[in-house]
Order: sequence, then C-alpha cells, then structure tokens
Amino acid sequence: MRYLLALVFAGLPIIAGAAEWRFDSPVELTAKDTAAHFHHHDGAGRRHVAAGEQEVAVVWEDDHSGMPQVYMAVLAYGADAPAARYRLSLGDEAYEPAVVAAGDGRWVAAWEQDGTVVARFIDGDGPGPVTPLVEKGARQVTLARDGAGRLAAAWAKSTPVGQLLEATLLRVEGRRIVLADAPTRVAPLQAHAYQAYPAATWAPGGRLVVAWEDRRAGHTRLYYSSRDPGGAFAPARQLNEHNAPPPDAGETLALGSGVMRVMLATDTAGRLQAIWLDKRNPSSGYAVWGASSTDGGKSFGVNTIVQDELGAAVPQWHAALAGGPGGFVAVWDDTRESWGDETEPGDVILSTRVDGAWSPDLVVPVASGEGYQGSPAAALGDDGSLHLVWIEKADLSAPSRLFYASGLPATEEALR
Amino acid sequence: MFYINKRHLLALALYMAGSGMPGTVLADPPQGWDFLPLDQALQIASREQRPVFLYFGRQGCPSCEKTNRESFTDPRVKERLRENYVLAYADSESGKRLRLNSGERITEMALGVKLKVFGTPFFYFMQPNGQPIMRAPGYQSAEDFLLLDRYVSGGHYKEKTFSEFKAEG
Repeated sequence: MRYLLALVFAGLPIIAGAAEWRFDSPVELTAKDTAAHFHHHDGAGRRHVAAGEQEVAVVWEDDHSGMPQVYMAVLAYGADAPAARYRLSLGDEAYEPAVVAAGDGRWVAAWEQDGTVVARFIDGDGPGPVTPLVEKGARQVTLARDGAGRLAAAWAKSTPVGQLLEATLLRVEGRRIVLADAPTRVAPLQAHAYQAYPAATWAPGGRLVVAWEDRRAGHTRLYYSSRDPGGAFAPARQLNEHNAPPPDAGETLALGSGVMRVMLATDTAGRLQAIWLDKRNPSSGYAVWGASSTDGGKSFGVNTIVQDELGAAVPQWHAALAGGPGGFVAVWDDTRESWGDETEPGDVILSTRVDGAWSPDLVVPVASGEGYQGSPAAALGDDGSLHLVWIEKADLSAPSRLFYASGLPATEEALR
Repeated sequence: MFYINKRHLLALALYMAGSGMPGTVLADPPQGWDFLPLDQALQIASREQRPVFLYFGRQGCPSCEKTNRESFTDPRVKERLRENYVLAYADSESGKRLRLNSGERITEMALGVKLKVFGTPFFYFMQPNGQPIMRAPGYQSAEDFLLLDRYVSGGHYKEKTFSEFKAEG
C-alpha cells in the first residue's frame, strides 16, 4: 500500500516542525529477477549513499553473483529507477563500501577487496580503474570529501603489533584515483593495538577529523584526532563517556561498557557531529549517542543521547549520520513499533538535529511496517533533501532487497 | 563424548590466526575451552549431529568476566557443555566475518543483530542445523548452566517450556 502513495506525510504532528518529512515512493535498487541473496550496508562510517547536485549514488555489498561483491547504483533526483548500476569490485570477495560525491556527476567509492582496500572513480561513462590504497592487510575503509574538493580515505591496517588506522589524501587524475600523500598513522603505534572502523569528515579550513573504535583500554572506546593541512594528527582524545566497574568490584578484567561504529559528519555551518552505538545502559542494548564539535573537531562536547524516550526500551542498530544545510540527520533501526512481537524485527527511525538539539524520533513511513526495514544510510543534498537507503527482508534471516527514497522537510523548520 | 581432534585444533588455530590481532584485544572467552567461530561449529555440529552452544561475549564486559570466573571454571559445567555440544563463541562488537548456513556472509556483530543479542553475555543453544532451541541472556551460574544442559540435552525443550521444566525441579 505504501508504495502506491506518491507522497507520504510523515512525522509526529504534536511536535510541530521538528521531525516532519515528506518522502517520495521507494525505489528498489536491485533487479527483481535474482534468487535469494543478501545485501549489506556495514562499511566503516556508513557512507553508503552520497548526494550530488542532481543525482544520488548508492553502494552496497551483495552475494547474488555467488560471492560477496560491491555494487553501485546511480539515480537522478526524483527518478523511479536507477539510471545505471555497476559492479565496482573486480576480485574474489569484496565488502564494506563507501561512496562520496566528487561534483558534476562524478563519484569516488572505496571498499575492501581480497584483503586490502581499493578506490575507484565513477562518472557517466562508468567506473575508472581500480586503485589499491594499501598493498595488503587492510580493511574497513571510509571516505570524506568537502565542498572544496578535498578527498581523504582512512582504513584499518594489520601490523605485527595489532590493527592500526592510516589516513591519506586522495586526488582524481583523469578517471583514476591517486594517493596525494603517503598514508600516515592516525594514532601512535602501541602494543596490542586494535583500532577499527574509522569515520572521517572535514572541518572548515581543511582540517581532517577521524574517529574510531579502540580497544587499548581493555574494552572498546571511541577516540578521535585531527590534523590541519600538511600537519600531523593531534594526540588522540576519547570521544565517548563510559561506565566503569563499581569500586567494590574487586580485582577484575572487566573495564567498562561497550561502544561501536562511530560516524562523523559536518554541516554547512561548519559544525561537526559524531554518533555511535553505545552500551552504557546494560538493560536495553545499544543506544544511539552523540557528541558535537564547534571548534572544527579539535574537541567534542558532552555525550547526548540521540533517540527519544520511545526508543529507550529497545536496542538500536545500524546508526548512520548525514550533515547538510543547517544541521544533521541520524537514522538507525529499532523495534519500538513491534515491542513484544518477535515477527516484526525492525523499522527505520530518523532524528534531526537543528539548533543544537535532536528532534523527537520519526518512524520513517516508507521504511517501516511488516517485516524488517533496517540498516539505513543517509545523505543530505545541498537543497536540504534527504536521501535514504535501507534493506528490507521478511525477517532477520530472510533474503533481502535494497530500497531508496528521497524526502524533503515538510516544514521549513525541519532542517533549515 | 566430545573429543578434540586435529580438525578441531586446526579450526581453533585458524580462528586465532584469522583475527590478525593479539589475543588481548579480542573479547574474552573462558580460558582452557575450545570455542570455535559459529560457522565452523555448525559444520562440525552438522557432521556429528550435535547441538551447538553459542556464547556471545564482549571485551571488558563485567558479566562475561563473572561468568568466565565463576561458572566456566566449574568442572561439572565444563564436562557437560564439552560433552553435549559443539562450542562456539562470538564477539558482539567484532567485524570478523563468518558464513551462515544460508550462505550469507556476515560479521559477528551482525550475527548478534540477527539473533537479537541485546547484551552480553548471551548464550544460545542451537540445533545442528542452526535453528534455535533456546537462549539464555545475562550471567548464568554453574547451577544455571547445569539446569539448561539438562533441559536441552535431555530433549525436554520439545515438550515443555524452560519455566515449566524448572518448576518441576
């Protein structure tokens, strides 16, 4: 039924203007003639959709060829079908892609392929050559590009002492991606390192900001660092607050609550936002928490919870973040609409951050209902349009389908 | 009886080597046990027609450590679980990949989403084909584990709920 609606008015009408969006009808991004297969949106930083001036690019991994490979669809704003679909990966197995807009209908994607990370330029003529970013032993690559055309990649690399993050600047030469500088460590070498799932964004003035998961303390914490153009990364600082064991716990190896999968974005006002999944409340699973920076990523403020109280009793998963005109949009999936019903495994939820506060949550009408709608990702266009992708399946173990929908603020207050 | 054979040891060695990381940064399964990744455990379970005991943990998780320290050191628990199940372990925040019986390739974190693991530790009893038998969230004492084992290995789950079984003493 929902697919028959050309426009769906969304939102919580009692919260005027704070969480209201109108969505176009969903577009299925993959062909329907395939047998059962599985789509995934689980890349570092969850940059699975990018908004250009007139088009949107979506990247994902699926196994319809028999092995996991990375694909991309491009569709014009308002289109009811992709204009182009490409298989981006060329090797045996590929995972966890990211994509950014490079202007004028051009895109840059990166992903893990056969034990390392690679990048590829795409334009209206299709994909260019594949560029390895690391010779071997790398994974969890993410991308960041700003309005000035700066392009960076960060990834996790295996070393004899553990897994460490590296970052580099990229440049487009013709239709090829090249490394504009030598990859550098984001945080210093340390014994037993485990740095993982980086997220990256650009602050005003060309400061590159990277956040990541780090297990140096005996449980997962989030750290961040940044560097000015031509400079070195600053000492890492902890992003999340965490629960430590109580003082009477005695001798223990248990060092605190968990966090995972941090995302970063920058809005048009130059503010930075981070969100992540946070297990500080032991009774209700992971929740979406965040922190903001108003000094270009040099520091982040106190942690604030993103979701509203209606989501407090259920776990949140697959958070993603977009920055754009005047604010941010966070999306994730949870089961608040199906509490107690094991057959209703999740819907896509959205919250908007404008004027320094997260809006009441919106159950996205085009990405909710019977079955599972989840693992969302989002991008914001320069016109304030929201571009949302998500995965649907009958239940959590069923084969999946991939959908896209665009939305606009139903009121000017939703996202200025 | 569940004997450790060369295949099991090889699988365990590949599991440790496959992480590419020192053991100190992984979540902490109890020492002295032979846990496998779930996909390898399911292969063995299918071949040997034995159920799977899956332990979801998290690095630094206080209740996981308490379970490891207080319950998994009990020789009765160790004997019953090793004898009756193929043992699997997953790190609930890990990006390590495994392949499910459906053919889907997912991370251990995504496995937790699929199995609705909202906290750790989280214990799952599965049929050899991966179908769920029952799940037990949170800290479990040694006596809890022994009761769960009697319920599952005795086949009582086919006829009554765990609450009913527990009430019968």
